[in-house]
Amino acid sequence: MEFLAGLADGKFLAILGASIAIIFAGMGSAKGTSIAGQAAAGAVSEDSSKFGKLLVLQLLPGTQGLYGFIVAFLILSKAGLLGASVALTTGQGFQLLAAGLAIGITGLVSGVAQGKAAAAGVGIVAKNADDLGKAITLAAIVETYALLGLLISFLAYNGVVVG
Amino acid sequence: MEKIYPYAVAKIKVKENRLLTNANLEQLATENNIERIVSTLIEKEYKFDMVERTQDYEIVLKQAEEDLYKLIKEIIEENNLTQIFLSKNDYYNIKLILKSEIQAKEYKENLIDSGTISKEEISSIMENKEYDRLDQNIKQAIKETIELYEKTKMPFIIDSILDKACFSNMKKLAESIDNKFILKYVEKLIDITNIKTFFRVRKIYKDPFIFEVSYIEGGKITLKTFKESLNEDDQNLKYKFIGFSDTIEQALYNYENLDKFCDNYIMNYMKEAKLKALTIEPILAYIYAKQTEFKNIRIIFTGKLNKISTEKIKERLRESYV
Repeated sequence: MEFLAGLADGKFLAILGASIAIIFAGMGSAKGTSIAGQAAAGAVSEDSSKFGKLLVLQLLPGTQGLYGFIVAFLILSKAGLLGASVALTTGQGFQLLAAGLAIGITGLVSGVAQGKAAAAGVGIVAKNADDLGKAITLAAIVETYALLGLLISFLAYNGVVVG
Repeated sequence: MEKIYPYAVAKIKVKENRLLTNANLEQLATENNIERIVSTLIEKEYKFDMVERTQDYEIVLKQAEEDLYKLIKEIIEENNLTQIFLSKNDYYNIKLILKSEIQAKEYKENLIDSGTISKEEISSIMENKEYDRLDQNIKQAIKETIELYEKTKMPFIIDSILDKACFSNMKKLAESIDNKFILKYVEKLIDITNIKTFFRVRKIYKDPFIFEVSYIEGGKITLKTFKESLNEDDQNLKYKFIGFSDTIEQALYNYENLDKFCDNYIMNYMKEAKLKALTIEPILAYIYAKQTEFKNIRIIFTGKLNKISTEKIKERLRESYV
């Protein structure tokens, strides 16, 4: 019984929401930067002068993890875990959990997808270093969907009234 | 989900910049000063400093080929990809040894060393008949070849059976990689090899039996289509082979350069790999591109050293990947 009551605890659900936001978005970024980083390493192993340009491409899929971190931080803060304690109902806990899901899942999928787009962009820069702008633009378009996830997470977070 | 190779593909994309372009090849074919040809090739990473005489370009090309396969083995784990290209050299050596034994000719100088089995090992296996040391496919093909040759005494049986075994092995290797582009490459290679045989039989032997024995299974064009087309008029021939009409038309117009048109057909297929950013296709295309480059360099060097006209050299040059 105590276990079930613990699962229905508002604070526990809020922490779960924050964890989902950071874990999944972080996984997306880790995987994305890894794919882009491997591609960049392949190109740099043949032409080290391209390192600076390729680093920008590798960083692009890193933002999802950052968005996940922001949302997680906000959720923990609203749940009263970072400052003055607030009373949180089970319903409010679920609402914060749902808010974390948006950036968690969009962050995971868009992070991997952006990593692949950035790695493909490495191919463009490998052919012609002057085309870095094009490679960044193509990969940056994937970012839109991570931003939309962040926006929805933020709006949902704002809509949850506690205390 | 298809396996991705970000490191390997990006590395290859940089290396593609160092391939000889069609313009480079034209320029080399026009150049009469061998030293200038060599200096262009040095810029493209050919190690001419390892030989004293430019006539020894074969040593440089052999080194370049070894470097190529070493690189591919380093950057991807798919050992079977390099095997697709290298295993045919084993079959070439076996054919050479079997034919030389029949004709009681010396063969050791003509063996090639870029197969999966070294030339010393293969000649020892063949001389001592230790076929068990070979892969099951090759072993079976050798036994079948010897048996059938004993019965028929027709030397082309050796080429025919071992070529079939070689392509069947290539197809198995391609299937093991689980990539449609690679499988399609082997199928196209089989079709194009059958087309070459078809033209030779049509022009020289005119005997459907020879074609039937030499026909390699595994491509898209059926034996029935080929047999029906053996006596077809030139004008209708290109309509018989869907997807190969340009190659057929070129071959009809200029039979001498049949091999070149067939190589160009495969190269045009390989160029589709340029659109792939992460999967294995660009790596396969790079191996093919490099092999074509070696072939083109050979054409230029043999042409220049034998004082063949620039026009003739240009006519023989294969299409480059870049």
